[in-house]
This record gives sequence, C-alpha cells and structure tokens, in this order.
Amino acid sequence: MQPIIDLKGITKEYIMGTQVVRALRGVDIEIHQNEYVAIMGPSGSGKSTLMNLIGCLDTPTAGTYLFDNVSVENMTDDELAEIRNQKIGFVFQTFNLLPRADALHNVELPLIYSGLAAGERRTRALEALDSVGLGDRVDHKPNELSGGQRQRVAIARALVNNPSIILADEPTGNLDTTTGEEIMAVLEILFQQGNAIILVTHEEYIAEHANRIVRILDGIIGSDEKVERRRHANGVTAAQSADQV
Amino acid sequence: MRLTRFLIELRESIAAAFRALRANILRTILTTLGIVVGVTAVISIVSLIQGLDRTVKREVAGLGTNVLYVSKYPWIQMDDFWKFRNRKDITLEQGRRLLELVTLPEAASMQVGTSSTVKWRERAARSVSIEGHTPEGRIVHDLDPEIGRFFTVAEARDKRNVIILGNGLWRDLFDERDPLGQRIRVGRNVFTVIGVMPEQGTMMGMDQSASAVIPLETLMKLFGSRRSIGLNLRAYDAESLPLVEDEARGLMRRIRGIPFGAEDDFAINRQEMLLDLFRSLTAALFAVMVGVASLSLLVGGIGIMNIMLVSVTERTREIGIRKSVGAKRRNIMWQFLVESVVVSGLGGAIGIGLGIGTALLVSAVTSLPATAPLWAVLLGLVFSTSVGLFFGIYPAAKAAGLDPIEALRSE
Ligand SMILES: Nc1ncnc2c1ncn2[C@@H]1O[C@H](COP(=O)(O)OP(=O)(O)O)[C@@H](O)[C@H]1O
Ligand SMILES: [Mg+2]
Repeated sequence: MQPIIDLKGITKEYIMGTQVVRALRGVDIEIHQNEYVAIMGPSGSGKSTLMNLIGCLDTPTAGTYLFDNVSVENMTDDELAEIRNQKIGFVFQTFNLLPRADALHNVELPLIYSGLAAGERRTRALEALDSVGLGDRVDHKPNELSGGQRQRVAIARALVNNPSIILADEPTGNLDTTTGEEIMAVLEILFQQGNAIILVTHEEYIAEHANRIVRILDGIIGSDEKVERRRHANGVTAAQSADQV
Repeated sequence: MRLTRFLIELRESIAAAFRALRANILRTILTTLGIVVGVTAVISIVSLIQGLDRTVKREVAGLGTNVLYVSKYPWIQMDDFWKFRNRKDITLEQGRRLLELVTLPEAASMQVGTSSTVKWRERAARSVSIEGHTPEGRIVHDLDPEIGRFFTVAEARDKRNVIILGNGLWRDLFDERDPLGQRIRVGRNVFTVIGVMPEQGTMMGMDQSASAVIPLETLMKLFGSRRSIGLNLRAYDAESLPLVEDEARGLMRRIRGIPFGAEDDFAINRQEMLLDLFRSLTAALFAVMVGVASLSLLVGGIGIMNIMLVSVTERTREIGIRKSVGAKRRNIMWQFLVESVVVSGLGGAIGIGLGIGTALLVSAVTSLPATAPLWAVLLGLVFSTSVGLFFGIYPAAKAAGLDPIEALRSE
C-alpha cells in the first residue's frame, strides 16, 4: 500500500539574524492511511515544525515530500491551500477558532473555501458538530464555550471536509486531564472510522492511544515503534458520540 | 461553476467584513470621516447647483431668447456702482420716440414695475410684483392669458384699472375660482380682473405666485411717474438680434443726445447675459466642489488605508486560521478589499444623507430650490467605493501575502 505521507531527508532551517536554527535535520518517515501516529519529544525538538510541514502550512528547506504520491515541494501557495482544504484537517493546541464567529460558522469555514453552497455546507457542518457531541452548541461563539468544547469545535472543523489525514498538535495541551480524555475519545472514534491521525504530545499516556510512536530529538527521529497494547479512549462523550454516529 | 464559487466566497468576504466592522463601529465611522466630508460636499453642492440651474433656466426662459431689454442699468454690473448712479432715467417720452423710430424688431414695448399688496375680500398677498406694460408687451413677451384676455389698446390709452393675475397669485387669492370681473385692491386702488396668466413662466422671470400685469400708464398714474422705463424689443430671430441691438443703440444715443465718442448712458440686456453669468458662477462652484471633494477623498482614502493596515495587523491570526483551512490568496485579498469598500461605501452613504440634508436645509433657509439628482447620488457611491477599492489594495495584498505559519503564530 502506498503511504499517504512520505518524507525523505527533510530539513528545515530558520535564519535568526546571523544564526541558523536547524529545526529538522534529515527526517524520513512514511505514514499510511490506517495509522494513528503519536509524535513525541521534548520541547523545541522540532515536533511542530514537522507537523506544519506535513500539514502543508510550511515548506521544507530540503528533502522530498510526497503527499498521496504527489510531490509538494514545488507547489504554489494556492495549490498548498487547496491541499490543506481538501486533504488535511488540522487541530491546534490553541484551538485557533475565529473569535467572532459561532461554532457552526467556524466549522463551515473549510467548506466555504471549497466552494460549497450554503445549504449543503450547513448540513455537513451540523453533522460534524453532532459527531463531536456539540449538536446543541452550534450558535455559541468560542468565548461562550469551555476549553474542551472549543477543541471539539476545532476537531469538527478538521473533519468536516473528509480529509485524508487529521493532524493534531498537542490537542490536549491546554486542557485538564478529564477534558483531554474526552478529546482523545473523539479522536478515537475518528480513527475507528478510518481516518489517519498524527498526534503530537509529550505525555506518555496520551501517546499510548496511538498504534505507533515516533520519538524525535533535536530535529532527528530517535525511535519509531509500534505500540503493543494501545490504550482505547472511552470517555462518556465517546460513548455518546458513538451512539450518534 | 466558477461564478457560483466566487459568489460563495464573496459572501463570506462580505459577512467577515461586516463582522469586523460591527466589532469596531466607532472606529469605522471615524475612519470614514474624510469620505463623508467629500461626498457631503459633492452631493450638497450638486443638489444646489441643479436646483438653481432648473430655476434659473425656467425663469430666464421667461425673458425670451430673442428679446432685448433696453434699460438704465445693466443687469450685471461688473464695474462700480457709481458709474451708473448718475444716469438719467429713461423717460416715457424717450421710450415713445425709440418705439416710433425702430424698424427692425418684430415688436417693441415699454415696461415699468413696482410692488404692492394685493387684496381680494379677506385674502391678501404681500409684495406682489406689479408690471406695467404697453399693449405690445403681449407680443414681445408672449403674454397670452390662460383665462380671460389681455388689456386692449383702448384700455391702455384710457389708463383703466384692469389687471391680469399671475397663475400663482390667482390661486392664492381665488383658490382657482373664476376671478373674471372681480374687484381686487392693489395698494389703495381698485382693479378689475380681466385675465389669468398660464402656469409657466412668461412673467418676466418674476415669481409667478406674486406677480400681475396692468397697463403701463395706469401704473405711472397710480404709483408715480418718476421712474425709468424699460424698453423691450423682440427680434424675429436670433440672427437679426445684433442688428436690432445696433439700431436700438444708435437711436437711443441720438434720443438721449450722447456726443460722439462718449459712453452709452443706458444698457442693452439679453437673456444670454444672465445665463453666461450663471454659467460662470456654477463653474466656479463646481471647481470649489471638485477641490474640496478630491482633497477630502484623498485624506479619506489614506485614512482607510491606514485603518485597513491596522485591521490586517490586528487580524493576522484570523488570516492564519483562514489560510490553514484552505483560504487562497484571492480569498484573503477579497475579504479585505470588501471590508475597505464597505467602510468607504458606508462613508459615502452617510455623506449622501448629509449632503441631501444640507441641500434641503439650505433650500429651506434661503428658499433656493435643491434637487439631488440620481447621478450625483450614484457618483457619490461610485467615488467613495472606488476610493475604498484603490486604497484597500495595498493592505489587502499585504494580508493575502502573509505566511500562514507566521500569521498563526502572531498574537
Ligand atoms: N519561525 C521560527 N523562527 C525561528 N526558529 C524557529 C521558528 N519556529 C521554530 N523554531 C525553532 O525550531 C526549533 C523547533 O521548534 P518546534 O518545532 O516548535 O518545536 P516543538 O514543537 O517540538 O516544541 C526550536 O528551536 C524553535 O526555537
Ligand atoms: Mg510545538
């Protein structure tokens, strides 16, 4: 089976004045459609940089990147935007919701840039919000929602356009343990439904939800191994959401 | 397909623009101040000029294109007043002689004017302009009554108290009842109504609602004969107008005994002179308006550019979010262009409202008429939105070019 993500010799350098920061120093990684990958590593090791590259938000300094067998390096900004829109769902640590828009509109956003008509957009956004257990909060603005609810809106936004892969950069980093567990339960359902997931975390027990853990150190992959007995998140919300799906 | 997609994206741009504007209403309105001032100036001045233009054209039309007005003073006095002050009146005798001697006009008449209160029963109209004409005045000025008749040569010769009412005066006094044969008071004198003028402007350019025509010699008898006579000459056509003028000038100089080489001590006026004056006045007003408008639109445009740059900076994070979910350059570009156009259009709309308000206010206070023409309103909108479009390009391009990661990282 072709990997959906195929990185070879990826480096990323930032120039800070006279100094060169080498955030990634030659990363090779393949990820397949049926995988749930956790990326771990200490702060500053290059996890976010890697995620942003995978998510086509950023471009590497060197190396090759095939997304779904298509080379990404020479794409224009707009072509990358198209990929982010169609194929990738991003979940950020800080949620990154539009503060003045309600939950529904936030979730509709990717569909707007896909050129979907209002009616269908609404239907699909409502479905997505339902699937993360927020069917009754669609007209709430982000500041009217709890942290966990905001992150679930962000997840709904990530999955609404049926992406090939969901990228979550420390999605539970700003949440308490219980709420974090709820978010993991939502991701669990998405994984069960066949979505590939890449999750950045530095918490061991969160990483154990994945079926593969990649450890990164100073911009280089230190270890890459299968999880023998993965942890299944099954919070209350997960059960509810499972019913609704 | 492309179009529907564009419309969908445009709708989001508009919605986003309004969301952003609502969040900063006061700032938005302050931003538009320059544009408001510019558009207000354009709309109010254009409205007033248009209103004036219509009245002047209508009033001046009443003077007749092919009629010359020989009088003591010129209508438009560019030189100093003292030059004219010592001129001698044009007497009835001089007028009669000129009218005897001219050969070229189609018709020629004499005219004097005064103003008086006119009463019928308990109704009164103040400051009515009373015009005294000779019978030929009917031909010279097309004074054909709508109701009743003009006065006869005999009535004029016998200095009878007969009067033809202006249409507005008739309605004021009689509520459109039959006035013929009614006795009305003009000052202390009793007159018999013999006619009513039609609605539109043959009343020497005077306000119709307050004017009336009586025989010239009746006026001189009742209201005083020490007044300068106006002599009105109607040419057959525009071509013969200069010939009529030359003849009248020569005869007048002879009649008034002006030595060879000396200046005229009378004036020959034409409708065209008033129109020329009006045209140069409006041109000046237009120039002022264009100046004020372009300056304030420029200031307004720079204000908008500035506030849009602030808006882009404030919303860098939002731009990052939109890009991260797939917004393309053009989406971000449009969003900020729409915002800038909406802000400036809003300023334009406020300006149009204020401009029409100003024009109405001025016309209410000064009784100058004002009409806001549709083209001026559209021009105001087009102008203000183009300013927004033009000055919005740089900030919008800046927003569209932001790097998604950098944008997301900003606070
Ligand atoms: N935009 C940037 N400019 C300069 N240095 C950066 C930038 N982004 C990341 N870095 C540096 O790259 C390294 C990796 O950062 P990051 O990928 O955010 O690490 P992590 O997510 O693992 O904490 C760090 O040393 C960080 O300081
Ligand atoms: Mg990070």
